[in-house]
Amino acid sequence: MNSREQFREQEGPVSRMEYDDGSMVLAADVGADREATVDVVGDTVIVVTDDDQYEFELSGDETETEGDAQAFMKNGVLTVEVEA
Amino acid sequence: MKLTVKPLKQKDAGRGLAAIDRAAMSEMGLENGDYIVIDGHEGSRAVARVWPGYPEDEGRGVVRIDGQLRQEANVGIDDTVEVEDADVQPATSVTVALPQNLRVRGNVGPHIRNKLSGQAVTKGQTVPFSLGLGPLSSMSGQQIPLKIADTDPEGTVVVTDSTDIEVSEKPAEQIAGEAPGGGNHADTPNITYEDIGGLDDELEQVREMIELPMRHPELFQQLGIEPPKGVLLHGPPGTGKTLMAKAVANEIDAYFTNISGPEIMSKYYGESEEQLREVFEEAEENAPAIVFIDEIDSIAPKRGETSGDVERRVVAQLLSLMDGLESRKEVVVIGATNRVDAIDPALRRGGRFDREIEIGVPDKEGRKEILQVHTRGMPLVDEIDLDEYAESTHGFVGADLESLTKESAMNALRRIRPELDLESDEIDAEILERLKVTEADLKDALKGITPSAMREVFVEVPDITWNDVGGLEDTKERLRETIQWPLEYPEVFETMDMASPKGVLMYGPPGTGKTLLAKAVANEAQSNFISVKGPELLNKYVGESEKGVREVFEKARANAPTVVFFDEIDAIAGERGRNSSDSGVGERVVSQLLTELDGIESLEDVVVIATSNRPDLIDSALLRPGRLDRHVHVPVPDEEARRAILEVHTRNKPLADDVDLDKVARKTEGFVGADIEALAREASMAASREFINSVSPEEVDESVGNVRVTMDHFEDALDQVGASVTEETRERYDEIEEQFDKRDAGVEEEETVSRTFQ
Repeated sequence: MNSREQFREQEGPVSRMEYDDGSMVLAADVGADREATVDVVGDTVIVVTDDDQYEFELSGDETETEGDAQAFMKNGVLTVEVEA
Repeated sequence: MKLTVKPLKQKDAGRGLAAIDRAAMSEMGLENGDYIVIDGHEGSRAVARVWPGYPEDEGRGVVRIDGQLRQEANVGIDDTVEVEDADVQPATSVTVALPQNLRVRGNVGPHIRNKLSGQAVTKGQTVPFSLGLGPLSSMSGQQIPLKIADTDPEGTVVVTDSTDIEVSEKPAEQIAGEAPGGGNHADTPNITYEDIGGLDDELEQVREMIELPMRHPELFQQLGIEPPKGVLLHGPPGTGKTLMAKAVANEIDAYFTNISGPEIMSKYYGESEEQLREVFEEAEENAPAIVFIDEIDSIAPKRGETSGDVERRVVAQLLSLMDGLESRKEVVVIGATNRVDAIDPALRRGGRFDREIEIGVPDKEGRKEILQVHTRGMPLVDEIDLDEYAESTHGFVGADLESLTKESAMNALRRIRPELDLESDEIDAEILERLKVTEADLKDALKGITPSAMREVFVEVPDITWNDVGGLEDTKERLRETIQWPLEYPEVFETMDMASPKGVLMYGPPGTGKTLLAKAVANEAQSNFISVKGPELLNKYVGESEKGVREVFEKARANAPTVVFFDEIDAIAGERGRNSSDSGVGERVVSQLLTELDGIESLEDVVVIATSNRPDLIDSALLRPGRLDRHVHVPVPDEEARRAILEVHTRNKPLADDVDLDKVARKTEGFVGADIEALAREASMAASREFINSVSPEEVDESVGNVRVTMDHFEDALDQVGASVTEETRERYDEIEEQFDKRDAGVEEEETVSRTFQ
């Protein structure tokens, strides 16, 4: 099980949506009650909750993501936007 | 801003999320995770968190919410709702009331907070609340209505980690709050579209037929056509026909009435018909209404074929009610059956059942969605990957998957049962919280559940892998190509425009491992496996033997991908036109086999494997391409193969160092797999004999670890076991192989021709 799957299993579904303009959004619901911060380093998204830390790769597998990735967290909804 | 309501995908459902398309989101200045208020009909409101919109919705002004939110807001799919940014305060304290009949000891506050946290609640609202496997919910996914008695501050609040949860002294029934959102009919089932997995296309068709005419009859007036009057759902048992009818009734908020076939039957003359009329009258009074007839084949069988007078009159009554002189107003009839061919043909025409929708066995994606639905309220441990289970449950229908999840929950319950004190009437909240379904629970449950359509013919898949088959590398490779490739690399077959092979005939002398290979295929192919022992298909009644063949293939189709295995096929598929001492049963069975393998009804994802020692006796029509199109000779093993087979059979035997398997292999010219197995067994037997005779019975246990099978034992065994295949036999099979090769290449042997036209 790779780290992305692990993340999904532990945190609820990571949805991956690819839009027509080439941008991509990853979203996950960690639950509205949990305090969490998120950071993007290179291709890796790091989520830190109260007592735990999860990481997952942006591209999932082999493809190198181009463009900038922005991550933010609001009311337990984690969003990572990758522009084309 | 006004947006159109659509259903949410199953995996996102049940979390209070609303997926809003990106254009609408930026227009309203919303971000993912913001709270929004959805203003529905009659002042009902629901609170949700924003979820990024699905790519296919881009720019369509769509908000996707699940059934729970739709009910709270009292809206249906394709309705327009007003969506706005919400100002939601974190709650400092919330008082909840539990139902009277729920008895929980201990402080459930933290447990409730865990479950509720993140949800936005408002006073008087009833929140469905899953208590895992609590006393009320012996069924998975059953939920307890939890009433919000009071909140601080007032208004809509969101439960957070720091919210105080108090359980009210008064039970929920005594608190008079405003009624929750939807004004449900008492008998409308409480099922939403999100509770249906894997049937998106079918659902869309049903909605088009039923929802559209009820919501916007003017569309049909404008077009000058009568709106559709009925839909017939058919498919194998347990695929969700009834569930779909329930969901439709619930979502469009129409009057729903249910006819259960046998119930309307009465012993008095004319009363059965009258009951039918009453149901329709009642529906008409409450129009728009849905009349749902479950198991319609029981009240509307073919008139020509029923013996009963009552049935015929009931069918006639149903016909005239559905499309009679009096026009039926906004009453839609949904019929469900799993025997669509048993229904009177007059019902199956436009104006009565306008459309017939087949609800099939779900594919992998569908199964995943169904599993997601059934595990939604279930506390699963984190490691469980539903994809894996969706992959390995070929042929499972919704009902099977439901029982799979239910069984695994029961396993979890069994684990915790010793700790329960059944005498006391309350269950400790701590134990409830610890209840979790683990991977082992699911795996155990999977072992005990077979797809319902397969129950009759189910065989335990043998525990044999390719590793247990020594030698035969070519044969293995060809079997793998035929059976595993089409399932594993469908895209290759598609690109190359290849149809996957229908069948494989394995032939060779007795004992060379044909059946063993088939067992390995069954295990490795990840398919359902049906094993047919030729002679058991034969039956003393005329027509029954052919029916047996038909049924085998019917089962195989329903459970595809399937491997059908005919052992010793020459018993039932002998050359036709030889002699008719059996009054032609054999011939008819062969004909049935021929049409099943390559008939008008195509076999999809069904592979037939047949084995035989006498391929020359098999009807040649069965061996042509398109039927058993690959002929694999399983030969007498050569030295190298014998070495490999020896390896397999001595793998777990304690061999002495002087045993030279290469030498044994050299000495066993003409041995087949079975002979080599016998040789290995004989050698170990010789070793055991020597050992048991030399030590006293008391010491056996201690010294058994020192026994070794030596080369001498093998020499002894070689004297006793001889090759079972003679040189002539081998030559005959080689000839047959040559024959087949020629025939495969399109050169028809003269001899075969003459024999066929004998």
